[in-house]
Amino acid sequence: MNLVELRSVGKTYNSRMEPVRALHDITMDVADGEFVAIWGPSGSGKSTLCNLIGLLDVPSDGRLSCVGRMAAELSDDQRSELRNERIGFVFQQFNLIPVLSAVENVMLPLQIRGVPYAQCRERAAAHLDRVGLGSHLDRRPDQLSGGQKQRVAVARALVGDPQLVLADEPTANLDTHTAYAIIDLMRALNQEQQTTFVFCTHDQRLLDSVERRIQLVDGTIAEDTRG
Amino acid sequence: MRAWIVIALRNIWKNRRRSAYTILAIAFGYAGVNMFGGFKDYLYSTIKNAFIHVNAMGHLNIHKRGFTSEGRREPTEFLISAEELRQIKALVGARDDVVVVTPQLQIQGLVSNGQFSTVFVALGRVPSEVEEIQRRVGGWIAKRQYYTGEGLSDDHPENVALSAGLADVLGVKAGDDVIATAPTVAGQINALDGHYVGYFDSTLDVLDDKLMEVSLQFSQLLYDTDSVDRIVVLFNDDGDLEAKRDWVQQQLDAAGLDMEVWTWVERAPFFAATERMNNVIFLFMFLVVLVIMVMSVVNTIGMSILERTREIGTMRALGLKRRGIIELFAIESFILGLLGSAVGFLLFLVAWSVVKGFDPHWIPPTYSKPIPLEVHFVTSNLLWSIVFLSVLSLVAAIAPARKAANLEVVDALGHI
Ligand SMILES: Nc1ncnc2c1ncn2[C@@H]1O[C@H](COP(=O)(O)OP(=O)(O)OP(=O)(O)O)[C@@H](O)[C@H]1O
Ligand SMILES: [Mg+2]
Repeated sequence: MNLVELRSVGKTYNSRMEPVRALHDITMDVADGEFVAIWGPSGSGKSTLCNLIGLLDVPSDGRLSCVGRMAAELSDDQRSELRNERIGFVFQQFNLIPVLSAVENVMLPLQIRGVPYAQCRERAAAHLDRVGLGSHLDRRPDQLSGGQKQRVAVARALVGDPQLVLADEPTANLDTHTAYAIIDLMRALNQEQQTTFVFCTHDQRLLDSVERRIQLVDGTIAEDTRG
Repeated sequence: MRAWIVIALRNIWKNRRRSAYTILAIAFGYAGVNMFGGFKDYLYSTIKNAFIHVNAMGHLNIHKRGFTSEGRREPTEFLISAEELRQIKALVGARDDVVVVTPQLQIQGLVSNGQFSTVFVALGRVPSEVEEIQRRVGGWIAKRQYYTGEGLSDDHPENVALSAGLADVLGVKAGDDVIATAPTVAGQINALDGHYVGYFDSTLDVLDDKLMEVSLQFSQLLYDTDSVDRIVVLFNDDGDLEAKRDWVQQQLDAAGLDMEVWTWVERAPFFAATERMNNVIFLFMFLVVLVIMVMSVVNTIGMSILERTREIGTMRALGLKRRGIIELFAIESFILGLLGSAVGFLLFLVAWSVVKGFDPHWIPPTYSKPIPLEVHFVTSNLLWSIVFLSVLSLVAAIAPARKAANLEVVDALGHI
């Protein structure tokens, strides 16, 4: 079974005056260990797809399973547990908790899981070391550069040993050089640990190092290429 | 849990200006409620001491059954005989915690200075036993001089003391004689010379020109009887008077003595009325404090939530359940309540010391002279209000926190 399976998935937002059909007829799989980029123009539905795969939101149509579970059958609490234990997230705006230091931010997923403090700290420190921030453990987010913040976020996404990491425009707020560095870091982690990565971007330059590219146009898959 | 406390403390510090307002609102509420609570306790104990000790009402009053109902028309038909008194003294006095059992006889009639007369009411009591009851008083009343001039004494049963107003009306000086006139129990008119030795302040100004204090012997002579109309019982502590009353009643019933037993509270409606009034004022004040505090907390937590919506989305994405979000803000609010109470305690200490230092005096309603105004340090009130305000603060945060927790993760994350 694939890590992620989507069958004719659609998503319609009903929040505004008229319903917005953000996604339709999405059928795709992501296998264990893949490194996938979802790309396409602004408004094409990348974030929507990312959120569905990451169990942050539920599809309006079709069937979606992630880490072996059908999204439609899960309660809000069950989805929270799955996200905590099996899925890591990296966000465009880094989304670090401003009052927590780098290491405390990385500890969060483990603390939510109920892991004892000392163990959380040890594992968080190890992961920060892995992303090259071993000497910045106690810095607050506002004392870190954009690239450093995103490294902390990557460490936080990986600290719980997830099967899948979702990154929605992880490089959009970074300069080109740093953006490449972050993508390279994710690629390296993917190859070392066989962790599956799915990231969204509208920046075509970042696609070179990616083995699989899914292009979205107007809420549906226009192209799915490998190699 | 530890992580949530860290997050809460740091956010309180980060928004210290806003937090300070909430903490101060809680602190002033805490201090205000406890200052009034301490004042209430002072009033309570002052009135209580006045009734039990200064007026020597004791803890329990024993009367012939019917004295407080039909006896109000014909008190002399409901008297306790000397033999019954002896039995009751033996029965009640057997209890270890009973310190005084003393008979009294209330009389009324006319008192004259030789030229004109006015009505009087007097309690005839055993001076040494009254002194014993008064001696056991606590608080500022203990330091007060009760009589100006001399008091009554067992050795001089003819001595009488007058309330300041009555002495004034009669225009008598210490050493003068007064003549008390009243019908005896049998119905003849009787007159008796009293030796005026000193005056006292009646606490109730309506009675200030009518009160007299005489020895039991004096009142019995005037009424030509060896009976009494009440027996006062004083225990060495105030605990569970109801049970003590029931015990005494049982002893009397078992001995075939047809008596009624009252606690001092039941015989002092003024006390209960003051209590009720204070409780209403206290409740009102408490409600005002409560509303201000809850509004302040809801506002602060609401602002926090608004500013940290994306943070809430992030925590949810990392796997925190809805419950966890509520806990996060409830903890923050609880800490605000705790800090507010702590600062409030300091404020209270300052205000309390100031009152103690200035030793202010006031004239309470129906009183005729100023008495010291105090605020008591009631440890249990101070502790319980810390618990109460902190928990209340926590509860106040639940509604806004629940709203935050119910946000869709995607919406919270998309919030800028
Ligand atoms: N919460 C929402 N309510 C209503 N419509 C929404 C919501 N979120 C997204 N949409 C709409 O759904 C469509 C897809 O949006 P989405 O954010 O997935 O695109 P995107 O590819 O991530 O774009 P971008 O590159 O700008 O991030 C858009 O038309 C958008 O306006
Ligand atoms: Mg997007």
